[in-house]
Amino acid sequence: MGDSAQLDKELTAKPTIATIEAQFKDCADFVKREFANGMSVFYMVPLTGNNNLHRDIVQPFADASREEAAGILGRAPYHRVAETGDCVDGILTGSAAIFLEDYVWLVDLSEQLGRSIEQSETETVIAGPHDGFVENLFQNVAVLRMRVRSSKLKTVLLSVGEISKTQVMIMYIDGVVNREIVDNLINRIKSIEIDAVGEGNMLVQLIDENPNSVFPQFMTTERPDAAASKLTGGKIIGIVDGSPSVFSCPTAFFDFFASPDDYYQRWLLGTALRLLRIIGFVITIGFTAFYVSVTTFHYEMIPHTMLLNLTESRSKVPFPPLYEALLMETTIELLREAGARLPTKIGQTIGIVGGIVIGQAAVQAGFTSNILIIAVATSAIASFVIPSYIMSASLRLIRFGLIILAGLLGNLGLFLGITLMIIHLSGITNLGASYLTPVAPVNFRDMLDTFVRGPFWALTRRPTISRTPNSVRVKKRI
Amino acid sequence: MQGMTKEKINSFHLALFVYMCELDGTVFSLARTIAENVGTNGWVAILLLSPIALINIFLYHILFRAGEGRSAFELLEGTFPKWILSPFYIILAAYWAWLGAIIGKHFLLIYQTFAFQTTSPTMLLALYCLIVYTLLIKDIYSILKAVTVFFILTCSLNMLIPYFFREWKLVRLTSSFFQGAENGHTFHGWFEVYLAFVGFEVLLFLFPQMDKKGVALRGAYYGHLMITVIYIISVIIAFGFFSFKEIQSLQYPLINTLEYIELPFLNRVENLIFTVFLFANLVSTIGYCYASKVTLQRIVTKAPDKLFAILIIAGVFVFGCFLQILRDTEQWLDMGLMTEALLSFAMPLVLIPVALHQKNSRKKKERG
Repeated sequence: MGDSAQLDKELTAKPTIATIEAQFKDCADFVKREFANGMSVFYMVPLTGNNNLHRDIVQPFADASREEAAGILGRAPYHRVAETGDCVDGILTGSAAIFLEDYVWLVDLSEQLGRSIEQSETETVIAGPHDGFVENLFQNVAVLRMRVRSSKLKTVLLSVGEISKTQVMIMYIDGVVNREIVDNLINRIKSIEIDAVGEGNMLVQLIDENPNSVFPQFMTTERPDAAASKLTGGKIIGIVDGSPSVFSCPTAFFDFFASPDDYYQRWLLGTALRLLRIIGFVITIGFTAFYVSVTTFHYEMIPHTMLLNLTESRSKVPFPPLYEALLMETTIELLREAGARLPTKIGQTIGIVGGIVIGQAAVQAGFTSNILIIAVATSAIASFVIPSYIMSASLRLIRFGLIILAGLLGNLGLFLGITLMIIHLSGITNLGASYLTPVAPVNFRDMLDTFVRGPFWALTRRPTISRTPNSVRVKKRI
Repeated sequence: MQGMTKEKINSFHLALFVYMCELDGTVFSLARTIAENVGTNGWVAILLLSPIALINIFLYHILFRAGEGRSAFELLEGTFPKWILSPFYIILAAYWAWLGAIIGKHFLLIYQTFAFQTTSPTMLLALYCLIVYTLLIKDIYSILKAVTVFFILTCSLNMLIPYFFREWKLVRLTSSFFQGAENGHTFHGWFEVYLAFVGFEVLLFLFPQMDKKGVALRGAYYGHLMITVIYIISVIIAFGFFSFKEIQSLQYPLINTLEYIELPFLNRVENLIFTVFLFANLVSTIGYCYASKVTLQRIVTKAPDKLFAILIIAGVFVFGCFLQILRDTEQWLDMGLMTEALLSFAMPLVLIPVALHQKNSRKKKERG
């Protein structure tokens, strides 16, 4: 406590050369330059650009007398700081601290680092814009500002992490957003006490209401068009510096099944795709479990025309369906994880090896039945139609639970599992909004943009989950 | 949880809740109960009995107005001292937990007639109790959200109705009305048919979460009318699908009708569909367990919410364990539901005068 109080005192005191040097002691990338006129300049080499340094420090001050230097420092872009803390923060964000006589000035010399804007690899679309968010906060803000050119697009800059001091930008459209939710979100972010935050997906886990739930409660996207549409829909966007994953809130469960693609196609096609994803959701959580349930307990449910094939296929397999299914599902998950970790070129090889191993050898060796492979593969494919990778991964985990329940108690086990899932989902809220919106509470108008992608003339209102004060999105033509 | 506190139950959710509470194990045998006690074209009996339940709901509406939205407990405690009420509270709480247990066990025992015959019913009951517990510890809004999803899943079964058109014959309904009742027309027989409607009275415990004007209560009428229509449809289907005598001899005509459904890739779908009724029975059990929980909470106000839930679920489990035979369970269920039907009328009839009395004395006080 004594050290911390001492540190706080130092940070609020007037900056001196000695305190700044003490703060950055043992930092090899911290540089001090002294000028003939008595001026001392401090900066971090990796954070500053050479051109900026030359333009704002070397050129103006190299031959300037003390009086001339003081005159220059009185003008933009130099600004005075009065506290050591501000001075240290400035140096850490790429500014140079200029000491002259008893005063200190900061000048921003920072250079944008990181990759340039490119396509997101996790969220690809066929039609529509191909740019994705990058790791640089201000670049991401710029991309959004270019899409929503309105002075009503407001931003709040916050800092999270005692050590990392990661910048988090909250964005919303004034007049469209519910201010109560914005304040709630800001308070939650401010109340985080952690040493460092590295990623958007990590930050949202620190602020959600149900930290032990398997389901993601904040929608994250790497696509600026999706983020912009959330903003105009009355939602709040949060960008974490160093992360291409931008979160939006309030979020509902079914938001994870929508893709920006749906709006770029004819509404009937968009609707078909949305329904396909819902079918995909049902298949991915229940198909293998249903197979296990039927082949373990409810053989009478199989039509006699299919029964022979199934029995023949299963006759060589020495395991009960539950073990058979768990074995295959685990193999598929291993393949998926291996594919994700390996470089792309080797990843393709894994796909081929896995295809042969699972497709042929496992059946020939009598490890598994053909029909189970169809079930497992269909479930896996179905999980990939869900646009959000995080949601898809959560559902795959739930699938294992349902398979085990189905293996123990057949259809009853399957339904007990589904019931537990529904009960769990009904208890989740995101910033006070029900996670099951628009199903529970029911809102038929919102359903037009959830299970189907209604035609634009019908999507006249913003989603109710935003609790927006201005719900009209489209004014009807007379 | 901000914003949640402002939430109020709306009529739509109350409608679904009433629908799901009324729908329980009785629906499986409803057609037989009607054939035995009312006779041919017994579906008309549903039309005749449904208004009685509507009147009952209307009594709750009057109670809401008279009590200005206050809960039954507040009204009672405004007139009677708590030490007199506490024993009643304990009896009622235990009774509702018992009724919830019977409904759950009844469903599980029926399930065991066609699947898992060798599985321990106690284990199944324990799983059922676990699910009831997970829902019971949630707030009423979360319960209603779950009920909404359960309703959608249960209601989607109605899409199977067209499947019966091919086998359904109008002639099987016969041209005579109320003929062939096994023991003639008795009050007990008709009362047994009425039991299908029992369950809506749980809405009494949702009063504090409704808007002050009681607009949400409209939902109770809609929910009841919905279930009436569904009951009529299910009975008409059974009466046109089987002969009258056959219905009288089938224990659960609804399940038997489902057995005839054959899809190209799936046979004997009743295995799957019957399981969907888990949701309906679960909601009925939850309804009574919730009533039990809020009643117990009036006695001990400061104990944690989960403790009551554990107590009630333990009660449900113990009560459920005593019931091992389906025939006995059905008798207990009939008895429990009959008592509940009477209680359903008695509660508003007792509370309305209490509420009116309190209202009048308050007005007198205000006048000075």
